[in-house]
Amino acid sequence: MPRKSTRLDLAPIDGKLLEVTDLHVEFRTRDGVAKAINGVNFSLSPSETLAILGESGSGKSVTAQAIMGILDSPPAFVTGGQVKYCGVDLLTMPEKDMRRVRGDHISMIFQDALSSLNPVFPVGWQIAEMFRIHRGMNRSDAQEQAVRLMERVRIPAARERAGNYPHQFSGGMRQRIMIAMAIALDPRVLIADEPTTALDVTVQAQIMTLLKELQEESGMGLILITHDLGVVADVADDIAVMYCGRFVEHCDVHRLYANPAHPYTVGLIDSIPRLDQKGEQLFAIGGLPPSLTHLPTGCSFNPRCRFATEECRVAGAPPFIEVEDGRFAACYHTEEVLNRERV
Amino acid sequence: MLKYVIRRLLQMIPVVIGATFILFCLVFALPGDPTAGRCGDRPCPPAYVAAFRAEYHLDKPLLVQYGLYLGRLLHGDLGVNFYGNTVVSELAARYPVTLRLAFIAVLVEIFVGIAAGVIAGVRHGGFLDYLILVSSLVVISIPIFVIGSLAQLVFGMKLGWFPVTAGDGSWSQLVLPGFVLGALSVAYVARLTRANLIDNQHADYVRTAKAKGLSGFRIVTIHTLRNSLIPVITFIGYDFGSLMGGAIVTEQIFNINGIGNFIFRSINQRDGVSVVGAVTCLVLVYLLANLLVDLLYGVLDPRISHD
Repeated sequence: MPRKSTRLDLAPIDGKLLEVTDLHVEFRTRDGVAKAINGVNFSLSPSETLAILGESGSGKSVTAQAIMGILDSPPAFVTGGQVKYCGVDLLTMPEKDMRRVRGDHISMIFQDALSSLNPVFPVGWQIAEMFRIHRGMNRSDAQEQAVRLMERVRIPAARERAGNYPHQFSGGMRQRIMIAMAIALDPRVLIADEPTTALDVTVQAQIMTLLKELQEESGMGLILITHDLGVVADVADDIAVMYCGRFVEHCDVHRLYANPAHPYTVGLIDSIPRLDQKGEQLFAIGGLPPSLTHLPTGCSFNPRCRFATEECRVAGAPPFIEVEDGRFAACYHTEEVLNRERV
Repeated sequence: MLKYVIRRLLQMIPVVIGATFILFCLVFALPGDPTAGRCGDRPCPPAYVAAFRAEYHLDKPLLVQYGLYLGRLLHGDLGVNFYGNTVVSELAARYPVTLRLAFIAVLVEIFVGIAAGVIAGVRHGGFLDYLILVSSLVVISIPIFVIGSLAQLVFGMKLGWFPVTAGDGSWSQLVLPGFVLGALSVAYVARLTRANLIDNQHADYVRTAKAKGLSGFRIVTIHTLRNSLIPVITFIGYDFGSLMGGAIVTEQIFNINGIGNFIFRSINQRDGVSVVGAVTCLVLVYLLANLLVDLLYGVLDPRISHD
């Protein structure tokens, strides 16, 4: 197997690491075509943290996997758009170059570290594999690097534990190992797909702090995928809210929490339990998300939306436009939503 | 680990004793007379029959016979069969042949079976996949004596690549019988490997391996295969255990002087001492093979601990 010992030479253009333009992904299944991603646009700069927020099936993970080029195809097909990394479209990049981007330039960590690590290899070996494949290092040098990384993500007794298997670690430690593996080669972009969902709350905070610290050290761009508003509030710069494969709102954290511009974001924020409303029934968004094989006409959210009018049902999907300075939303009634009566 | 092995070895003692007892009862219950045909066309004279029965303790009750047998077994003595040969020497003459045959069959299973399974799994849904699936189904459906006879006809007679029968049981003579004996298990191994590989191709750790920037070849050969082979190797291990018990049909077809043939002949001739001795030996071999498989399982899958 050819070993490439150097990094593919790519540098950020105009301060942008990643630019995703009009990304479309569909799943062709026996039951029909599920339109998982329907025109996603965003960009990421070094040291920036973008949180992508959405419920299960909204297309967060599919977006991440499309960027990485690791969607299972079939059934998944990227049907349109561009994913530009340092000015190069990853979607049209030859697979042999793309392999050198994955892990080296753009890395990813996953939700369930137990099943995401290979159960039959020691964790040190799995981390060291990054150096052996991408840097052509020999076994012992790579192992040494792996131990250093385990120390960097604060795994106690790293040297002794490098020979242990994933099942011998706690959930938090396993996620640290995933992180060590992902940051091994100093990637410029790290995509964290629900990194704390499988962990308990105190460990969640530790992992988020670790990610933040690593980002400050290296200046990597961080895409944080989650369905938990609480997790992202402290660490994210921007939040993008996803619904049915579209970004419905995208702005900085403070404005999004203070006053959402899309009815779906309003629903999400209203459904956070609040201490001052203890004992009252929790708010929930009515209805269920539609099936991706049979999306409603017009705005996908219209069947569940209290602001919906005839226009939302008949006209096409609302365009994703700048409604305030640096704030984007896809709704025909943004004004109304922003000036709504507050609870 | 050592404790586990010792415990397992101790557990074998009651199993072996129980197995010998059941065997003894079964042989005792066999109809027919071991002295029949020993004196040419005439029936044997009563004096000869009485002497024969006394010599082999056949005149004593079952439990006494069994007790005498166990006593000898403790000294490693499997007894003398009705032809005056020690059972130990009969087994020693045949076991190497059976071992060689089993070894060839297992090698065929490992190399042909796993390779076919990997090709089918990687080309899931493609032409090669269907070809391997259909041909393995054909092999599973055909009785082994048909496969054996066909192999003799084609590779032995027509092509002349291999000897038609195995006379002295040397390696070269056992290649064709080994392939025939392994054929059935090859089909199972191929299917098992394929199914496990396909299951594992969608595992989360494979997604991680892709995200690490590994090549497709490395993902299959290092990451997926290692996980997929755990059940396959278990199957092969147990199969090796049963193959070492001899293969009556294959040994008959190729005229191999192995354990399977020996037991078959001994049963036919009501040679109880040989039957009990040989089968007890097989029980032990099978138990040891099982122990080895269980230990191997722990080596392959670090999640399994024998502490």
